[in-house]
Amino acid sequence: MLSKKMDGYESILAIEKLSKWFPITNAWNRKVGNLKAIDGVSLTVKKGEIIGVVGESGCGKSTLGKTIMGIHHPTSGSINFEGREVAGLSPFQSRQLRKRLQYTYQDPGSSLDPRWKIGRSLDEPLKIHTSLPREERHTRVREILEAVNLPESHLQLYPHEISGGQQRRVGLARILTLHPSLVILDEPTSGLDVSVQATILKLFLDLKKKFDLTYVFISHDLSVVRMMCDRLAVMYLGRIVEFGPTEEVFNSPRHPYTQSLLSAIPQIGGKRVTEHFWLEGEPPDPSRLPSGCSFRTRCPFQDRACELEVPGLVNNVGYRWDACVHSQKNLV
Amino acid sequence: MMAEELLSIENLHVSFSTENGVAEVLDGVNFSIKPGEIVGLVGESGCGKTTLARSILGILPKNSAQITDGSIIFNHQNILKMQEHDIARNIRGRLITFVPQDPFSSFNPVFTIGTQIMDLMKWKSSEKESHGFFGRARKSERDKHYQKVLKLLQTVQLPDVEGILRKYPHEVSGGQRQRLMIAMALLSEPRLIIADEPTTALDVTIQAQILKLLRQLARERNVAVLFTTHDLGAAYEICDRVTVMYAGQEVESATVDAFFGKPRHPYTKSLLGSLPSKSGKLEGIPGQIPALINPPSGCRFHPRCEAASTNCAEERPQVHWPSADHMIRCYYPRTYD
Repeated sequence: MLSKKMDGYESILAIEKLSKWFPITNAWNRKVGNLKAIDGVSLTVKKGEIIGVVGESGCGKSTLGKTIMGIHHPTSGSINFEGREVAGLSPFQSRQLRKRLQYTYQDPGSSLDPRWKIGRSLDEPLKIHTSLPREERHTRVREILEAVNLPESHLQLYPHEISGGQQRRVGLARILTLHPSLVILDEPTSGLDVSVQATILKLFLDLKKKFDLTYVFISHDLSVVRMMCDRLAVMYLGRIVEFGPTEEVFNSPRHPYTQSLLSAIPQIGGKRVTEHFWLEGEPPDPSRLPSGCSFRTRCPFQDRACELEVPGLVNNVGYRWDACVHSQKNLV
Repeated sequence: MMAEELLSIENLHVSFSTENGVAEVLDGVNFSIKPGEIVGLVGESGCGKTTLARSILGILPKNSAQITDGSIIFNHQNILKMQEHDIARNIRGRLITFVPQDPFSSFNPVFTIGTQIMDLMKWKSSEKESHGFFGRARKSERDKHYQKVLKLLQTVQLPDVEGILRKYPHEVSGGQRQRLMIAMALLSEPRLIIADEPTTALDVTIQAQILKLLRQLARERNVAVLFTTHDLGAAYEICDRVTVMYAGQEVESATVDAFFGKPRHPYTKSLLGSLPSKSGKLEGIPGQIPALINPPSGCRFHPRCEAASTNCAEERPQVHWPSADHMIRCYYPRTYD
């Protein structure tokens, strides 16, 4: 659906109606329902772009990243990466793919082995995925280490001996040793101070140029996403509610959820959010979603039409899609 | 000037003894809050915001932390010279209350929210009112407390207040838990609320709701708030005045408009420059936050500062007031025409 208006760009990843439902079981381990972590998500990523996936906690953005990566098996739908169907591959088959498709975990501090020196952690992916001799592996590790601006002496350190920002760099170096083409960055700056965050974001942009990467940038920090991403997908409770070029989405959000999300970001020097913020309530329990549009319980525009059916993602203006009955009639 | 301050901290030095030596976590901090004022204390992790908040409450870890110098004057009394049981009875949890960073781990998971709030209510009123058998409050009093709690929960805009009191902490969402925390902080009619990163664990739409609520309640009840955060945007939202700390030293303090509009200290300027902006320019701060064991001499920011000169390393700059409500500690402040 979203792949139609591509303007001759080469698509690197195409997701079609992807769903990942987790079973909910009762005390006797009987299945009593489904938690629809992602529900019918379609998305196309162009080669060389940074695509942002934003939403609040529990909206399924991390599940989306992990399902693309093959960490979760999709319930239904297809994932096409570089022309190959990759959904539901066996671990052996997906190993060959992982060289090209990589995922960085939210917290590199806990995803690095605490008992391994950095050097060993960086060497491991090369050992698994390539048949390079030891000397060449070492040169490759040193090259990457230089690319992420870490001194060579760090190879001899343990993860706890370096700072949070440096752990991110190691996490990044670790996946770049394999020269991937698509990197899924899951909350790459959460827990970092702003001054460190700025240097890490700069590094992402440098590395993207240097290694010709495409990023899927999963984040809840909208101001970071605005600065980094070319296109933006806004998720709410497992579905994409709005999709389009970042600047356009920020300048004129069409879905009421996007509107409230964007108006909640503090703008230094601007009007204070606390004086005019209108969104009330909290997201409903994801295991007991309301019928129809899942945002309707908090939406000021909600009426009968919202209850009846789940609004699909529709291409309304230019390169923009949104899933709201009212915005499609230009009522919002 | 002094008389109107609700809280005034002068030249506070706090050090922690660690395995590797003594860390000077607060190095001569001056700080003040007027009654009813919302003051933001911002800085990066490890700059001493939480230590400052904890010294005011007197809840620093006893076996490692030591207040070596300085004074904390609250309501014309030096807290540091008071007896521990006086602080416990009159100040901590009564005149000064606390909203924690993490609403997820701050409730006891095995009791209902109602039990926990009613316990607190009983404790707070234990001085004034008599109790029946086994210290149990009389039925009439319990009813009075219950009504008061219900009213309070309505003021923090919780839906279905009676239902929430019967729930366990895991059954309510993060935003609701933070509202409950704010309600509990307001229970004893405090003069000062210390809110330690109250919105860090929350989503941005919930953050906006909580900030709005906190600001509104503080204004209505004329309660001063010390709001520590690393999120400059959140500080901009609710504060009247902002103080920045760097590695245990306060470097600049100004009204919100002056702080964000005309920052004078080089660190403040770099910090604001590190925020993601629409223009896509990124200016991180070169170098790293120093270790607090053997920190840089003089102004602790000088090794990373673009304006630094030799005297910055020799002695810490004195307090300097470019205007009546703008304080900085820098030899080479930025100037505006």
